[in-house]
Amino acid sequence: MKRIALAWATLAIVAACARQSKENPPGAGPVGQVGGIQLVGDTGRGAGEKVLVATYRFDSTGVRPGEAIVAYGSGRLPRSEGGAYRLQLVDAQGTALAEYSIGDPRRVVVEHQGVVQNSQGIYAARFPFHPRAREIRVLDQGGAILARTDVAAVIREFCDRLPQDKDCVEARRSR
Amino acid sequence: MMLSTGCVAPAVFVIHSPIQPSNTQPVTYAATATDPDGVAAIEIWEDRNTLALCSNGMQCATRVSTSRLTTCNFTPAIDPATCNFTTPNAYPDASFIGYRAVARDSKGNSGAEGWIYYAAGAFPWPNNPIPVYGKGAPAEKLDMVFIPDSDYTGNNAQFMQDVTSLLTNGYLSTGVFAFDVRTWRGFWNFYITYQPGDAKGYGSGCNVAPTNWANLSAIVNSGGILHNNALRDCGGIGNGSLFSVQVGGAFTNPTAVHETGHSVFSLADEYCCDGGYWNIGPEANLFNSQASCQNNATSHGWPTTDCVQIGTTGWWRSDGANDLMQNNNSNTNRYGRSDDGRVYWLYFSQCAGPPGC
Repeated sequence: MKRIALAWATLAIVAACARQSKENPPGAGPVGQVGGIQLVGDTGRGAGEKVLVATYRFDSTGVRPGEAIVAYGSGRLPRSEGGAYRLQLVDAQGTALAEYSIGDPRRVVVEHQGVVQNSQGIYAARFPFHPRAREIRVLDQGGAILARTDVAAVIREFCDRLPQDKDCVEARRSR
Repeated sequence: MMLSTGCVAPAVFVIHSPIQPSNTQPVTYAATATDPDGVAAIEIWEDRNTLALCSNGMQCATRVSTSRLTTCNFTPAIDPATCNFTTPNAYPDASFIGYRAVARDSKGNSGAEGWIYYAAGAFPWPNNPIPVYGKGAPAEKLDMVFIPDSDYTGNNAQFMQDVTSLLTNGYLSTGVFAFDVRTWRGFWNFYITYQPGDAKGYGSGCNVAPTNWANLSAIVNSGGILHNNALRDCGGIGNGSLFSVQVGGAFTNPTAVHETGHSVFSLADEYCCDGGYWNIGPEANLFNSQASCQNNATSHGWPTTDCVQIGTTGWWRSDGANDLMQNNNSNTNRYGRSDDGRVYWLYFSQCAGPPGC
């Protein structure tokens, strides 16, 4: 009886080892997207995620919008960290499509000095692409709008280049 | 005996150098494998791709070839084993190269690392982050870009060499300070850009982002400006921030990982008495009262007596000694257990889950 049990155990181990050694065959091609590059032939998870990015400069005079772009990137909403400012992506009616919060970008840590408030700071807001997006807004803790970026123009420019993009088709419908 | 060793797959590590080769620089792949049964063979594989825009406007890589570059046989099997291969020629511009190392032990079990991807030769989209160590889609990885300070004065070759050193001898090294990055390197993508930023230092304006920051921010979580001149570095806090670090110092590598603690993981300093102190949840490494520190310790099964105040700052910690957030002027400190809590929360609850990272 013991011999049979031992034989089964040995077989199971050999089978498990065999399974293990057959995983990831050396010549098998890689899959998916890597570091912002789509490996052609695989349209799996993460493929072609578009984002809206808008930069803001924070200084003593307020918050000033900079550049806005549509690009392929990390299509997840950044996690909220800190409550100094709220960032909103809104539609034509001003309804929030997505939102997260950030700390003050001017706050930095200087070793053996502590947390200091720098005179200026830059932050790039990033939202997953939304066909109905019209504006990115920076709000203070009380909800007052400190800066706004019109993203309709950059969406239109992107979609003029890629009219067949399914999000662009929907963006045209929502205009 | 069979259960303890016979079925264990070899642990494999492989890295390339230089990290972003030009179209005249051959590339060396260095693989190491360990296995209690001894490593019998290591194969190094290459996946060649050409970069071009896809019809949807996305950066795409089209396969040219996949081939085995070399096989290193070890008779008798040894532990550890190393296998290096240098390409006879450089890769052309607009290359996207993947590589993979597969090791087999004396019992026939195999383990692998890869595919890992990097851009070789001139990158077709120089305003975008250039992948130098890519493991997967940005939405599921922590994405960090290295930026040259203006004090490189356009010496891109030197900057790229410094990034090579920072990854090889720093973030992805076997150094104790790099434990949480190297061990979980599958959660990271590293990039380079050649558009300069400006590390001005504390009192002079701190860090100025490069002009392509919007393009970089479409993908990255954090940017590190590397500089040569001595100055008091400023470190951004949390997702989307910039930090600076001086290259060439005795503690450049642990300092970079320490600053990454601030920038990527939002970890606070833990040294006395002039550090940057804050509390951020979940899984904070610093607490503004003894009670909250003790509650955190209890929830992790640590003795509440481990909670100590940092001087008389009013801030409390429970990580003990040899903590990289307490002292980065050492190559033998690593993130403490509270720091690990935050790191692992980000890895496993965010990056590996629906929130992404």
